[in-house]
Amino acid sequence: MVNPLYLFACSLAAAFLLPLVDKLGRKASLGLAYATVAAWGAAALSYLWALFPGGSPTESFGTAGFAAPLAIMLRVGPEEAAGLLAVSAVGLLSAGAMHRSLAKAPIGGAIALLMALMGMSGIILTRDLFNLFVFMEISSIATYGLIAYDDRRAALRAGFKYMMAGGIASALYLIGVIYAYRFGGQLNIDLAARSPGLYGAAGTVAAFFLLAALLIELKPFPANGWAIDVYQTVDPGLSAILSGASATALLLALWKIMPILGDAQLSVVAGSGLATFAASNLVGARQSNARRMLGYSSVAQVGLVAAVAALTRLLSLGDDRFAYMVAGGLLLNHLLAKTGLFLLSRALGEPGSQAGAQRRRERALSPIGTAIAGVLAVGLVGLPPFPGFWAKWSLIRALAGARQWWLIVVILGASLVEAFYVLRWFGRIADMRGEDGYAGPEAGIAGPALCAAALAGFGIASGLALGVGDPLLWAPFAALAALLLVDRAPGWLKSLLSIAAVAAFGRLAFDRLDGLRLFFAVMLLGGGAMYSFAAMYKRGPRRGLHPLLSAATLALGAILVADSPLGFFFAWETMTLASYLLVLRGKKGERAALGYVVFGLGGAFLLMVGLAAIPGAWSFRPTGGADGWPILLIIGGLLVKLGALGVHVWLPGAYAESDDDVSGFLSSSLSKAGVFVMIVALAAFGGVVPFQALTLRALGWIGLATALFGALYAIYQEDVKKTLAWSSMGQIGYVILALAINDQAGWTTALYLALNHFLYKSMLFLAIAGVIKRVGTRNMYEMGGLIKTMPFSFLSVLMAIIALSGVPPLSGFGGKWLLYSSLLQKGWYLEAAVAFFASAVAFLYLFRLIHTIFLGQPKPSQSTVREAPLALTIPQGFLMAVLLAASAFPRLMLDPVMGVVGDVFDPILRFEGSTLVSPLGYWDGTLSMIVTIVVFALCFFWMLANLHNPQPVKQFNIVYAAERPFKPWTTHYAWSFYAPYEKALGFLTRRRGERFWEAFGTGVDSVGGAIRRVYTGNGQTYALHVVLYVVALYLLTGAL
Amino acid sequence: MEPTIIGRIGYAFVSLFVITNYGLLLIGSMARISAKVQGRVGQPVWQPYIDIVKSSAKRNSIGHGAMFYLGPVFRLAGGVGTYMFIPAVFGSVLFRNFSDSGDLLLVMYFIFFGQLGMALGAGEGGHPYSAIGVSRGLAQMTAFEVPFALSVIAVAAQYGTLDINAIVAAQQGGFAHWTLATNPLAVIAAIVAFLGMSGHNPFSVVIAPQEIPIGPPTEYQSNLLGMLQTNRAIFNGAKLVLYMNLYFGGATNIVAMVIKTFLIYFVNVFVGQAFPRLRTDQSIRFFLGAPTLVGIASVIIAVI
Repeated sequence: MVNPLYLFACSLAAAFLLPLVDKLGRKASLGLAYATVAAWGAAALSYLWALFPGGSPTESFGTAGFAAPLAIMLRVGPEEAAGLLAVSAVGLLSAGAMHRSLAKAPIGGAIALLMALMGMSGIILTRDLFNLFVFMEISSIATYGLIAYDDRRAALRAGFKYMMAGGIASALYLIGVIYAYRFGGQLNIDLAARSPGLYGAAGTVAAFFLLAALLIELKPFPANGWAIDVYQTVDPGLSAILSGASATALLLALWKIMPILGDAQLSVVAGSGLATFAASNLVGARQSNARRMLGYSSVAQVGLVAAVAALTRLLSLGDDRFAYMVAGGLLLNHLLAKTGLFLLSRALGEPGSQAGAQRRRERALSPIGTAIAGVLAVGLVGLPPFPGFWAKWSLIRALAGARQWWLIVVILGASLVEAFYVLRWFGRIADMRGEDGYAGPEAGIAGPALCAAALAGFGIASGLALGVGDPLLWAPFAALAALLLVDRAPGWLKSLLSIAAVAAFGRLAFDRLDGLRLFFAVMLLGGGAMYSFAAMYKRGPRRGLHPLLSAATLALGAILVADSPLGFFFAWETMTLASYLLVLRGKKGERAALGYVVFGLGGAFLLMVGLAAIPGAWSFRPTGGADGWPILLIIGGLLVKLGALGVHVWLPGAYAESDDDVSGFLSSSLSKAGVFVMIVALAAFGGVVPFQALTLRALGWIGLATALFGALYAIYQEDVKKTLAWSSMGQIGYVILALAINDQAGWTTALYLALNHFLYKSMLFLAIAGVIKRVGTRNMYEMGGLIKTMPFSFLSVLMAIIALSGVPPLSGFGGKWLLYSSLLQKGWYLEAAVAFFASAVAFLYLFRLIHTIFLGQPKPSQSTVREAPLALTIPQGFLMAVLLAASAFPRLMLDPVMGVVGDVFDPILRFEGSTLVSPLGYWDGTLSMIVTIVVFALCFFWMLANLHNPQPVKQFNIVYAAERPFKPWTTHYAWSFYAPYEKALGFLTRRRGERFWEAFGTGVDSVGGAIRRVYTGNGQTYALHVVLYVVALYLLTGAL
Repeated sequence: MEPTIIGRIGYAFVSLFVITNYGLLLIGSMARISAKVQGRVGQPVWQPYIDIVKSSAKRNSIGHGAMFYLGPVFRLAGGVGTYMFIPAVFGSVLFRNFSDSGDLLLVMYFIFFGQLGMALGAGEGGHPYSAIGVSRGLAQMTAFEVPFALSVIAVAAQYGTLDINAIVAAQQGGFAHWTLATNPLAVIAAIVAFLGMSGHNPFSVVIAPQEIPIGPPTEYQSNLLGMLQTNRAIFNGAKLVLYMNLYFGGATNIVAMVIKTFLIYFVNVFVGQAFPRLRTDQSIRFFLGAPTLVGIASVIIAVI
């Protein structure tokens, strides 16, 4: 190993030489500076290589050949090597970003940069308390230099505040060093940790001062106003150094002194870190300035890492490997994402202070820039496959093992707030992008791109390290990457590639799909492939659509094949991610996507805690002996995903605002993933649900309320996609209700309903996509009479609504028959009545849908529209054929369903020939189909036989109030179709869910606003905060 | 002896013939009774026959498109089909129809078949009155289905079956076994729902003769109207038979069926002559109020 002393010598020598070399030209001097930073990086890499598993665990270097306590010791272990690499990498990236200003300004800037980075490296390497102080001072002073060298007034002001806080911290640290030397007898950290002197009352004071100083440097809430101002005002490159490199060094310093901290002090570190994480995220949610927002996020993340490091020791959550994995993973995630985002924020232009003004002043990013911003933002909030995701999983799992529920609530709650504002920001950036534009990447995009690539690389490595090696689980990302590479190719080619990807996945996964999984694979994978095909209905490359659709589809497949809780959760979050981006792609998807992902993540967090709290494997096998309550969390999380009443507010927006074909995919395919997991969870843990009868009954009522209110909301919509969205919510409500029945009949019903919903909702969405494409509006009252011009779409919608409403003889009736039979058999009479009401209400919106679009008076402007494109009509034709076959021969669908369910429950329903028999009644689908067809045919022939001299007339040929209307299309009865209904029952649908969540959001926002008031911008106040923070810390340490 | 499939089809035609004629006469006689109540002479009892013959004999017919023509086909098929799925006379092979296709749930949902098709056909007619009528009709339908569904659930819970034949069988043995005697609340809820289903006053806003002349069928004429008129007879007959089976002990012979269904239908006329029309929102609130509570009470009684 290279002795790190040489590196310090190199840095110092380079710093002295720089003014001289600068005489040769700025290129040469900056080249020397960068080379020196790179040398640190190269050394760090060589250390890592030497320490790689199998090498020596750590190596120590003493100054002048002595050992501690005589010499200052420098230690190189895994965390030091990684830290050095991080500092030099961030330093190089930031230097690259600041290159232009470094080249213009005096050479002092480059010297300050070099010294700051060397100081940070020193903080990481040294094992000596006083030497640590020296390096902290070096890096601080150099940083002031860097801040001040930016000669803008705001930056100078921020730099002054920074200096003040740093000064207080240094003073405290120095006092700590004095005490430590007095009571411990020397200054080497490792020896001090073993020295009894530091554990008495006086020794605690030494540790306290050291700790207080380091904590202040780590910018704890509320004593961090000075740091936030710096993040906001200085050059983004410097922000990246402060947020990434400096925080890494200081966290490692904290990690270093942890052995000399007592439990009380560790608790204080954990408490302060968590408070910072929570409060900073709450305040961050209030920010409209991107850099200030990133600053809050930085502070929050550092707080979380510090808390995790302390908790690891305090609660014995795990060994060093655990700390590396979790604290290190979180830090790495923060470092890369935040560095990239800060650097990227330069490309976004000068941020304003008001949201509106900002939107004007910020520039749109190129597609590549947007993609990189997406990777970084998504990585930051802890979505897969980035390191934060794996770290968070391990952390929650360990905390659940230690039964620290409140900590989990705080961490996940604050994470959700962070996800909210980071993705809100990203959504705004994505919303500014041009449609199918080919703008080249911005200058200076290389740094963020490297960060994004590293984030992905480390994420994949972390996943593999945690044992998630199944290629099928990674397939969504492979498909995403592969299709992104050919994103400029024509749409049809990408559609075919997507279908091929699904087919390949299906082939590889086939052996692992048992009955239930195979059943769902038809809807999830088959549905995905079908929508990939349908995506051809719009011309052009439709950039980003195919990769995301393919990734979402394969993620659904991955959910089916996952065989461990982590594997499953990985696939689940991959699905959340891909579908979020799909919604965001929609024209006005920004707001809808945000709601979608925040609720999606909230649900996922519930799932994660539930899964983390259940030991054992993830399988479709009853598990005994586990605690019951985690299953409630899992059910709760799934209810969010399924859009149950109360947590449904994301649903209408997401389904309505995404692209028209994507809406169909979300509603008919993706929603079934939640059903699948619910079935698996209930099958595995159904036996241990607490208060089983009561819980299931409540679940049933939730499903029922969802069904009823979904239908009620649907009838008042003027927007056809909103109608379908609410309808989807209602239909899934029935599935939840049927699952809650929890016997063979109920589950048969649930699966049958799910499959039927897939069929007819696909037909509806595909047909409506065609209609919207042709008429260019989503408002039903702006359409009319399209049956003449789009007869095939009409037929498709007609069959779909007959099936959806449950009118015999189509297969939808089977669903109704099964539902009522199983409800009555179970003795859930009131539920049956409400379900009947809900399905009667469904008639209203279904009729309105087909009438206002296809019947009534046509609009003159739409008299020449063509039938929907083949890409839409072919899948519809296929689905119609399937629907008819399944209707005439119910056994085609029900035999597999009953086969799957038969493994779990005793039989209640059985077939006698073509008759399905329940304990209460019977239904012969084939016979009723034959009777209906014969009767219909007879009536039809009767009609033809008696039709004399039929005279087709124009649609406007009606007599209305004794006159031919002047503008007949104005008589199309469409707007506010059910006004009387609204008058009678409108009070039921006053959007209470939305109001509740809005109030909740406002509440959280107000808390953030209240907290924000501590940040006055006044340097003296900030200094006071620091002092008060230390006093509070002291009192708390004493109290604990 | 179990008849052959040809025999069953033959029986079905006979059964259909009987119910059609009975239904037409029933409508005619009720119209005449209503006229008497109002102090008019009224139409002859056979007027419905005259109407159908007249409509069917029209020399030309105006059409608005395929769905417009199919509307009456759906409507008539819905009426005939509904009847076909109900056993009309208990124990009679002749009037068993095709009730082995499904139980009570099939009948309840097949009722919608004709309504939906008719609504679509009327929609293609393009007349706003049709759409307004459909809107009102569907809105009202969702409301009166609630007490009806509750009452059906009460019956199913009481007899432990959804098989119409079994429900009738359980009521054999005299008046004391009828649902009317064992669970009168269920019958009240169902009869109130029936008022809505029939579209007589006070729930006649769907066809509101003054403001939206005859509602959904506004644009229909000629043979198409004739089919609608025919269906009215069959569909009424089917619903009456269903009610008789569920609540009034069914019928073991055709005479009992005629008497019972006549009396059930008479309730309509009786109420219709005594009350003015409600607005749509009023009738929705009405059905979801007291009748629903009565329905819930009937379920509770059945369970206890």
